[in-house]
This record gives sequence, C-alpha cells and structure tokens, in this order.
Amino acid sequence: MTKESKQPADGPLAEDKNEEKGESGLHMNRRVFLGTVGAIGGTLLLGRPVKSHAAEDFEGYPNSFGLLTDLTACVGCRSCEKACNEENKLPAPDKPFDDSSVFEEKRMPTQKAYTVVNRYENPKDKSKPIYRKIQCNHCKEPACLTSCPIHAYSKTPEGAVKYNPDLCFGCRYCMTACPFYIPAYDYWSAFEPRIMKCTMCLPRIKAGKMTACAEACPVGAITFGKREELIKIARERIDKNPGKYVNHIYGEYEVGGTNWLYISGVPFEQLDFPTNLPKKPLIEETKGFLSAVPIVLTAWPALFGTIYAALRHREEIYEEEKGEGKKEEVKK
Amino acid sequence: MKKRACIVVGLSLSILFAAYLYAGDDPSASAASSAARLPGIRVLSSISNWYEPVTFDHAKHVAIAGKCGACHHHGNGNTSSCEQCHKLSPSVFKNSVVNNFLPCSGCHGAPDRENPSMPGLKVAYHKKCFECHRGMGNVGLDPKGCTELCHAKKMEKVGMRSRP
Repeated sequence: MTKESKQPADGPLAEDKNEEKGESGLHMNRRVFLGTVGAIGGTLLLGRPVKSHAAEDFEGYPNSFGLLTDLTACVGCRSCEKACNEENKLPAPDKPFDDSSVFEEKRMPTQKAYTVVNRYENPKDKSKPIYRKIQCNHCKEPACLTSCPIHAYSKTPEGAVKYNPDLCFGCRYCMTACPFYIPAYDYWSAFEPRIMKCTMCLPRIKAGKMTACAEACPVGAITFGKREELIKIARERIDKNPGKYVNHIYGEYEVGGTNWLYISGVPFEQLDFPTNLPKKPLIEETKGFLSAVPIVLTAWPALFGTIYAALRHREEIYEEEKGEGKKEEVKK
Repeated sequence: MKKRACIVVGLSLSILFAAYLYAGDDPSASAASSAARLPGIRVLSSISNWYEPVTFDHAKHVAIAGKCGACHHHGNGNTSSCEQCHKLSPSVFKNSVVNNFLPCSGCHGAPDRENPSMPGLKVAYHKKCFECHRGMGNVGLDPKGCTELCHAKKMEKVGMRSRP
C-alpha cells in the first residue's frame, strides 16, 4: 500500500483503486452530502415561495359594494366633488364648486379633495366634452395595503379600502405603491399628518346609505350597488349600445379587480387611465421575492457555511497529506 | 296670419298623431281628452336641496317634444306589471294608455342601493332633461349652467365645514 493510492482522486477509477474502504467511503459521503444539501437548499429556495400561504388567490369579498362611473353620462357639474367635501368635512376649496376654470388643468386628488373631475375633449362630439371623475378605486387586493409596513390599511367586506390614521407613522410607501397615484399626504398638518384618500363613505355604507357622491350625482353617472350587479349593468349597457361604449369595463380585471368600475365612450388611455396594468394584483409581482427574503437570510448562511466548511476540511486534509508525503520522500 | 294658422294646424296634427300612436284606431276622442288633462305648470320641489325647485310647464314641453311619452317612457322592461300604470278592462284600456301617465315620482323614488339599475327620482328627472337640454347655453357643459334654464342656486349653508 502506497501513500499515492490514498490521495484524493477524482472519478470512479480512482475510487476502485482505493484499497481502504474508509477513505473512499468518506469521499463518497461528502459528495452525497453536498448533493443532498444542494437539493434541500434548492427545494427550499424554489418550492417555498410558490407554495407560500400568501400566494393563494383572493377573489375579493362576495357581496361587496362598488361604484360604476359611466363616463358617457357625466356632465361635469362637480356635484360629486361638493358632496364629498361636505361629507368628509374637508376644507373649503380654493375655487368654488361651480367654477369651471378648474377644468383648464388636469387635477389629481389631494389632501383637500378626495375626488376631482377633469375635462377631456370628446373626439366623437367636440361640443360635448368628456368628464372623468378620479378617486381611490378601492382595489380588491390593494397595493397600498400590501406595501404598508404597519397594517394601517384594511380591505373591509363592504368593499372599501380603509385607512387608519392612528396606526400610520407616515412612511408614505402607499403613495408610491398605488398604481393610480391616489393617496395624498397632509403635509400641511404639522402635528397630525396623515394620508388622505377616498373612504368610500364607509360610515354611510354601514348605515345602509350609498356614498355621498353617488347620491349627489344628478345624471346617474355614478351608480352605487353590489360590485357583481354593477358588472352586469355595465355589460348590459355596453351590449345594448355597442356604438356608444368601448367594450371594456375598466376595473373588472385591472390589478386584480377594483371595486370602482368605469365604462367609457372612448378608449381609456385617451382619458389618462393607466392601461398598462397587469390583470394580477400588484402584490403578485413582489410576492415571490418577498417570501424568499426570510429563507435567504436564514437558510443561505447555513447552506453556504456548510459547503464552505466541507470544502475547507477537504483542503486541510489534502494539505496535511501532501505534507506527510513530502516528509516520507525526504525519509526515503 | 297664414303662418300662424299653419303652425296651429301642424301642432294639432302632431298631437293627434302622437295620440294615435298610443290609442290605436281611436285618435280623436283620446287626443282631445289628453289635451284637456295636461297637468299644466308643476313645481318640482320634492327633492330640492342645493338648488331651488324647478317650474315645469307641461304644455310648453309637449308642444316641442310632440308627445307625453317622450318623457313618460314605457318602463324599460323593468315595469313590474301592466296594472301599475294602465286600467286593463277592455272598455277603458285605450283611454288609460293615453291619459294615465304617471308622474316621474310614480315609479322613481329615493335611489335604492339594492336595485342599482333603477334610477332615483333626481337621476330620472335630469336624464330626461339632458336628453334635449344638454348643450343649450352652458347646460350640462359648465357647472354654472345648472342655473341657466332650470333652477337657481340656494344660498350656501353657513357653518357646514368644521375643519378649517
């Protein structure tokens, strides 16, 4: 038996040459060990996020309420803005609610107005502009809720995305997460800043009423009811007047569906609706990554540490044996 | 003089024709009674809130729209039963079809969130008004247009906003 035969060698031929079962057994065990660790690690990394609890589909609360804005019906009277202002006891607007000069620029909801109406040119009839009401769309699976690190948001069975100012600590992640750029921040309040956005008049809904804007709308451009029923009404209107409407219920599938729905006579992108949104809720885009974070932080150090230790051990043995071999050569 | 006579004849013919559409083969009698039973000028005040009540002149609108049915439409497939509006006995049916128009509030009331396809009274009024009036002046184009033809704005309530 020579020392050469003991040296770690690659390939089955080298193993066959080994006479000492112990040495070759150690070699094989290491390989099997590394393979097994790799397989387990891979399973943890790949399998876990896909099957994680959060990945299960949420179909939204059944019987939740919603609103349907018919953009062909709105006449830009701004009654909804006024009703919203009164209902939520918001500060008086800079310009009165019957002032049409606000239409000269495109507005977004602010901390002083949960909803605003913008004017667009009507390509079908220049004399009758299109008015678009903007407010929180109350997503079925809201990005603001999932981005909030402190659970200041909740999705209520009534359909509203509710914000709790008592929990909010002002990180404003929700503002960047919202695909519709809706949450506004009350920067002007020095001691009690908070996110300001449409509440879907949750107290009114709970009291058996409809939202203030829907009740105020004189032309039926805002219809309040069960979301499922509103989809049927919207579908029926489109089917009965295919020339009047584009065949799209905005909010039926956008970002997993929203409780506020829209039908329009012109394509939605012409009215500045974001039309590049996925049909899946936005959380689906980050869920895989986010659920991998805890595993990366716990399993990866253990896995790579073990691999490193195993390789280091192998090198140490190699160095040791190399050293011993030299000594023997010197003795000879 | 000739012109005026022509207009009068034309108008009465159009009313007769409108009535004929509703009354089948017995136009003359029902048209006469229809004109006699026009509700005249009504003040629509039941839901007045931000704006003053609307004064609605039936005769003026029938003269322009041509028929009562232009506004007093026939259900929408949602009318629950014929008896709701018409007397079904054969002797008076035709008469009831022509003369028994329900006021808007006969079907449309407070909006019901359990029945969103049924417009409330305010929406029912405005939808019909805007069918013709949108675009007359600033009506339906500018928020101030609401006060142009139809109703004046009430004074703003004071102390409505508690948060400055």
